[in-house]
Amino acid sequence: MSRFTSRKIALLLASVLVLGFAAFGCGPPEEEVEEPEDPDVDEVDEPDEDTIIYAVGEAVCGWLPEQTTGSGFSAPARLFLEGLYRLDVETAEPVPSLAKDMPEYSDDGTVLTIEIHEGAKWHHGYGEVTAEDVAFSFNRHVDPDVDSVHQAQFWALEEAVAVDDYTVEFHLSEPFGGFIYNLTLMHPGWGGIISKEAFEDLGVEGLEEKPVGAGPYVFNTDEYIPREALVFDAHEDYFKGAPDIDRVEMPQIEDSSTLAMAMEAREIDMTLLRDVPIWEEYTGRVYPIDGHTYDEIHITKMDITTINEPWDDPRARWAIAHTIDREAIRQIVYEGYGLIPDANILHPDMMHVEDIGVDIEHDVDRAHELFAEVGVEAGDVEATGCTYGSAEYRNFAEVMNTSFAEAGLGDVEIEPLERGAFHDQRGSVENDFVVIAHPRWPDPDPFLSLVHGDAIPPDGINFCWWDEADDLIDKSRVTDGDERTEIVTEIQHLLSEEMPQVPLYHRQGFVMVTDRVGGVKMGPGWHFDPYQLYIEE
Amino acid sequence: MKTYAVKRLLQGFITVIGAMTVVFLMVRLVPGDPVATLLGDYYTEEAAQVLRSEFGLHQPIYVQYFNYLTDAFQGDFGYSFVTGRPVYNTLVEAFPFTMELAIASLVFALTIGVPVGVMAALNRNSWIDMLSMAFAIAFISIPGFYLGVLLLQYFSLGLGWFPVTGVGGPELADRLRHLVLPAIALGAPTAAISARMTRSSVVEVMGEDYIRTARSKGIHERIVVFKHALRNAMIPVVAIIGLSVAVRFGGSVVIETVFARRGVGYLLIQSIYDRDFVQVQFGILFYACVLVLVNIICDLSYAGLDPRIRYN
Amino acid sequence: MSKEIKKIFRQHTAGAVAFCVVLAIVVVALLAPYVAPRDPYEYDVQRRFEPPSEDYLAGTDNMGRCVLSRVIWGARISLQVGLVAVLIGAFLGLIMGLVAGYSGSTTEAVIMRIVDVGLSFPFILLAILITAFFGGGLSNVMIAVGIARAPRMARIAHAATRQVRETEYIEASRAMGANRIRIMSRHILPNIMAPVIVRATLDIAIAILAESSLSFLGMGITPPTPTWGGIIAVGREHLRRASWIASAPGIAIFITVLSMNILGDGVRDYLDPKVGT
Repeated sequence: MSRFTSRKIALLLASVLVLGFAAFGCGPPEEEVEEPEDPDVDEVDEPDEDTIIYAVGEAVCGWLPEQTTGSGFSAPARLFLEGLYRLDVETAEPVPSLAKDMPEYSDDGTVLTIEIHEGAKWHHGYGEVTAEDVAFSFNRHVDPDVDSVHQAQFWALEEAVAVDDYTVEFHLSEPFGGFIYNLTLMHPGWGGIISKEAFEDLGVEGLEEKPVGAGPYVFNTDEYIPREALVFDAHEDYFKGAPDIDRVEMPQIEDSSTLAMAMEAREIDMTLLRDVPIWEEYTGRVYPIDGHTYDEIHITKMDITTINEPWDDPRARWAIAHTIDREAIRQIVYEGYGLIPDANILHPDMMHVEDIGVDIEHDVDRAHELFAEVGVEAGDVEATGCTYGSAEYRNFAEVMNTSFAEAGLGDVEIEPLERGAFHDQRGSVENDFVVIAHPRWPDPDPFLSLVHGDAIPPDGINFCWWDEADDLIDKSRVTDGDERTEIVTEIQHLLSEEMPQVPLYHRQGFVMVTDRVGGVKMGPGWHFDPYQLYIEE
Repeated sequence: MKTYAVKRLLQGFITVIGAMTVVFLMVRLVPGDPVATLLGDYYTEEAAQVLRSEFGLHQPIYVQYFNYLTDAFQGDFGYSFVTGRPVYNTLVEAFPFTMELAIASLVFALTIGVPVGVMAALNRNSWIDMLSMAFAIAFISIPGFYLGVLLLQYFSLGLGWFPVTGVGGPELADRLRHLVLPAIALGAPTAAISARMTRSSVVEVMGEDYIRTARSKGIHERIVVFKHALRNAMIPVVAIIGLSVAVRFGGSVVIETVFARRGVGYLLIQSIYDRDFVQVQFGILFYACVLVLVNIICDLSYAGLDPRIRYN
Repeated sequence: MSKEIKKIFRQHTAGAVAFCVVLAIVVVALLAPYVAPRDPYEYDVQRRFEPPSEDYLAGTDNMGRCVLSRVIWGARISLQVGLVAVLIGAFLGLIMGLVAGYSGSTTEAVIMRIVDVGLSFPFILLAILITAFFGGGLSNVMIAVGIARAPRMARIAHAATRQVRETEYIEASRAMGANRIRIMSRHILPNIMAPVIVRATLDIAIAILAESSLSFLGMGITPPTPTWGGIIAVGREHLRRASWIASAPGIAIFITVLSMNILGDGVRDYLDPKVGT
């Protein structure tokens, strides 16, 4: 009998224990947090004076721009690669970097002439940056033998030619206003310039081990351990002058909670953040952390496989759009930050994009009506979909699936998948929906390319298999000014009527920095100029 | 003894070949395509063809298998699809971090688990027994990713004793400081399990005839416990521990993710997500070898502990 | 009958009480629609992160859902995962271990090499590979976790069988010409159940948590289906704002595992009176 009683006591004690653990979870009470930190702790964890620790969330596995696809590449590559143009963080317009000025266009608009700065130096002693290097870098993207992953991006480029040491000409197949974005460091994968001499000297494999750029920081090859440590040193011969910070260390921390805690412990100085709830939990409450927010040109959308029944009917596509509580997504996944898109995927901050006044209401009754019009009972609707497996998109799927169930749909589910399975599933026609995100820049063309017939799988990521805007998109590429705006408006109307993809969310980006770092200004597409960073006194 | 060792090595060899074969087939049967994953949003049929032939994936599967085995026996384990580096280098770079964590977590688990288990067994059904049991269950009930964050909240942010992320610098002290919390988070369930195992093992042994005999001979209780009981009670515990060491060498995905430590577990799961066949294959091969060796060593060391075990 | 029950209660009080607790949890899980105060899927963006109150006994989560209702509904899934996965693992493991341990020679060698190969994959990675192979979803997660646990169970069953095989009792049965299957099922199986049950009751916790680790790693059961591990994972993300989210499922796992363990001990004592009091 005593055995039973003591077991009961044990149970009680253990429950107290668990509760105690739960209580630990509350963390230090609010008042404690507000107090300045123990100076001893600061001293221990404070990095070297002229070094900043800039954490990234994704592993980077390749350094040659033409083979690089992951967004994890952007942050480190912007440190060591140089480009002709950068995006202005305020206006998101291209501004000269290595180029002296904006390009000069020929009368028919097919030739761009660009002059570059003299005296820019390659890292690791590969001499001066010349027009020859610039032409070489961009020609690799269109060379069929090189097989650049960005080939499609450069559809308009015929050839880049070095006219003299400091002048380069870009010959286009047709005039294309959006081409200048291919020359910016917006995405270093296509805007970054590599050294011809270094390439001939080291080869592809050599450059993977020892990347050579001309940016403000030099890739430290001695301390480089793939997936483990990335270190950059100031480029003393940088053509705008050596940067203020001597050294940038870039650890990779995947888990957002850990990232935020490392920030609070001052183990890192700066990071770009994807999980907004974490930002909400940490910023403002913790003294040294400052959060900067910026609008991104970014869309998260749900592609609908328009060749499957009943989704071949636009009314069914509108019906499913009406069932999704997009405001709940914005509130729950993004803490109320960001924008809810109109009925087309184009971002309101894009050039040539007008507000055409067509929204998607969260309206379950309307959805049921539309399904009935197509001849399906809402309760019988079945569909499968997939999205990324990260915490952010698990939350996304959670809200969407709840929406679908609440709307009384039969069996509609977005399943979060790990990377390999996601890339396998998304292009499959058995999959009705794909929830997918794209960061881009102010020109509408890259967003429109996502629904161009040329991008229908397997050759692209038009997972709606929808090509009815092809003619208009083609036309929009070769026109400029008001005329282009008119065409883009027409496309917006078409997209709104047809609903091949349900626009879900326009993201707002966040960067967290401690008070040690100044000069952080973020623009669209996580674009920022690392050269502007400095350490506060 | 010698023939036994040879026999075990032979068995181990068969196991390793089996593991190589299973992982080879498994990564290829799992839905997902390394080329599609690698190219991601930039997938085109043309680019995919080029990569496929570069990776040798265009060959029939039996040719790939034959090449894989012959290359492996010549010490060429291949290059990662993702990084293009030899998979051997990548794994060997990550292994020390995993190994030090494995050892540290076991040291933690044993220093807590075994004494608690012994104490519980000797004070069976007392409050000590119950409390230790409750503790053990509590630690098994908390998922590692949650326990890790709790520890960080309390000890790193609250008290400022330990760093949050990373593996630490070259100095030993710094390295150890980085090890403490992940070792506790990883070792807690093992501590709980070894406490439970030790307890039931000691209880069982204490009921054996030879213990009764020893007691009836009037031998001091302490000697009975430490000399006779513990020695025998430790055999199954050693078996579990031996396996645990080896299991930990496979890395802990969750703990490595939470504490931002680069290790084998993290490397392997990323490789699975990327469908980086070559890296996964080598990871499992390496792990299988470690496991086999540790097992043999464990089995042989039984002999030292338990003279009753005969090898036939 | 009631005499028998009374006897069990008197001799194995703790085990019997634990059995009642487990039974109660199962009943609550089965009666979730009637027991849960609210709809576990009903969300309200205006009432996110509300601490426990009269309205919401265990508070609300990141979507403004009732945590208590989700824990009660989650019991269905988590208990299923825990029990079914362990049953699959124990079933496969017992068969392999028993046959290998009893047969000896070639059969033993072949089966144990298969077990060794299974052990050559770290548990969670094996679960991940199997989940990737079958696809996500509840039943696949159970199968994946079960298969991944099987080799470990097989080793335990194998070791125990080998010990039992050598006893005079079994030798005698064999000498009397008893059928193999009969010997294995009637004589060996009951004698090796003790370590298997102890391990299995611990494995239930491992299985329940493995599901949450799979979710943490981006696989597992599709949200918003409530599972205990899944709710803890949400609680982890909002540790500072709403520490209560993880408390309720944490306590649920704890009580379940604790009673399963006491029950396991009880069953072992019942089967093997020698070790008991």
